[in-house]
Amino acid sequence: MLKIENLHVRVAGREILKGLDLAVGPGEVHAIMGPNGAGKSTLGNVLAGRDGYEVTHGSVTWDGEDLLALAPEERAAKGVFLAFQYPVEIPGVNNTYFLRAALNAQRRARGEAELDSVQFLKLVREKLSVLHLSAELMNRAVNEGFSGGEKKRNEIFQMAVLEPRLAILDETDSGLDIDALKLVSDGVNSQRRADRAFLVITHYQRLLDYIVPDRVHVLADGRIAASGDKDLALKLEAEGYAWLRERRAEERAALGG
Amino acid sequence: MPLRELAKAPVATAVAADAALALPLAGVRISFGANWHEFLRTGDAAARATIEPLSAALMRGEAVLRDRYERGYDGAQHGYTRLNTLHAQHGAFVRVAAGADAGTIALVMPGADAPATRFLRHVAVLEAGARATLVLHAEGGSAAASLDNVVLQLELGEGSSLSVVRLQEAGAGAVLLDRCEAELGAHAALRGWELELGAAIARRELDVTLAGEHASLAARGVFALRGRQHAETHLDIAHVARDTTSETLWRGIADGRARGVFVGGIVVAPGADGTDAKLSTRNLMLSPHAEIDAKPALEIHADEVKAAHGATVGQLDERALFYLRSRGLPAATARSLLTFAFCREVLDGLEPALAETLARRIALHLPGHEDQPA
Repeated sequence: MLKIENLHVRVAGREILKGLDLAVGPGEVHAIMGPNGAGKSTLGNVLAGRDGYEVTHGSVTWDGEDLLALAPEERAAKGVFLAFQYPVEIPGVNNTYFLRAALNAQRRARGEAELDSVQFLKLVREKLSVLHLSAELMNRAVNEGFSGGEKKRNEIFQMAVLEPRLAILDETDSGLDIDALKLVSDGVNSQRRADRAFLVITHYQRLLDYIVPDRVHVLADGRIAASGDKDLALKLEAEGYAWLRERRAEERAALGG
Repeated sequence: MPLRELAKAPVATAVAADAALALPLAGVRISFGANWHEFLRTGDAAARATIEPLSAALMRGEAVLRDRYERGYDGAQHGYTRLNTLHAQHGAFVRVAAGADAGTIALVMPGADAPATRFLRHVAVLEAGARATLVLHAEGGSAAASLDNVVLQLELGEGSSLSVVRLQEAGAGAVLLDRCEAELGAHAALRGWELELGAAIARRELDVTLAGEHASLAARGVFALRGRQHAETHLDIAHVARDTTSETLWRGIADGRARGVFVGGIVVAPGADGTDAKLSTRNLMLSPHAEIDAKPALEIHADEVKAAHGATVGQLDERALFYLRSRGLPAATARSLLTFAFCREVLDGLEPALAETLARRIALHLPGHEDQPA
């Protein structure tokens, strides 16, 4: 359902993704790992439609449709969700109001009936309990004054309410202590479905102890350098990313020779 | 990031006769009538507050009015006040007796339904320890050309407390020259909320003299402008006595080809030690053709003074915009939500039901207002 082919992306004039290929089927959990600066967050942002990311070559299709041609809100309505690495604080915008407006905007775009406030609050209560989030947070401004862990849990909570079909988690584990990491992982695991795919972007293998992926890909120098099952993540944890660089250097030397 | 294209929406500020927009006010309401020199009074003032037409107070030779009309007329009187002194025969005279609570008194100027020149003078005197809330509402409703000159003069006696809520929604053809002069005695407190939403051209002056020790001013305001609207807010705050405080917070929004000006003038006089003055103005430009000029101007002639000011002019936060859109909100909705959030802070401290109604009224004047919370 998600198909990325030969994707090249420039940011501020610099090529970050250099021919990335990836296919993610329904219900699959794919982990994207890689060293800092490999382009992991760029991939998440490009898929969500952030401005400032220039696609110079390649294609991304979602259910056969050109994802890159859609505005961010259209992608959301088609089931794409990005859990931000740095969730944005928005003073003056109430969390509950925002989330209901977002859900109803998506439902409207899909031709579904909107939820009234009673239906919406029922849904919120259900989802809050799963993530052990305080209902009090819902009455505050979006992410304002939230701790780092609360912000990340709020991202997963929004995902639970919006029920996307492709959830991209951009370093959701960064800045979390072990308890928060478990809470977030439980939240994600409770939402695994046969028709919902996950793209889990992370620097560390630790998260994958809790969210066990079907496939692991290593992103290095703007493309997928290696793919494997969950054991690949363990190998990376044991050996670091250095062996990849060596292998790339050998490949280059072989090509050059 | 490129700014979005100019919206070509008309500027007419039709405020629907919607119950949700009715100001939740209990107390006295005085409307200056369709013919504006009428004095239409409804509701009751609390005991020991007198409210009468300015003309009646003038006829019986009210000493405060006489003083207000004559003081400085030969030279020192401000231009708008002088103009008003020449012409104003209508308005309200309010006196709240010592220790009394007058409740809420609303002074309403309806929109001009035909070309008009109007002069209103309101004078309110709060004796020692008195309390009151004044609501000044310039209504909209028509696009007739008008020139309105309104002067409000306030005397706050020792330990008195006054809240002033001003809602300016004048019609698209209105030119307003609007001035408030306040003098505060010791321990007197003036709180103000100002919403500058209507009129073609509006100039608002708020001139506050903190004349008694421990007098305090806390004022918040917003202008939200579209089309070719032009609005200016000039604060002129004088810390004259020791240990006086002022806290002013303004927000400005300009869309289309609108122009907003904010000048925050604060003077700390020699000897006014212990003054604490804070001024903040943040401004948002929603179109490449809008203009906002913001200038804090602090003049300090005393030694032991705390003074802080900040001014920013910017555009909507692109990160916040993307965050909202990534959750499914259309771009226009996301923009208006952020714009609305930007000015919501101005209503802090108001009674919640009134703040809600005023929030809805602000929303009506923002771009894409149909997407606002109802």
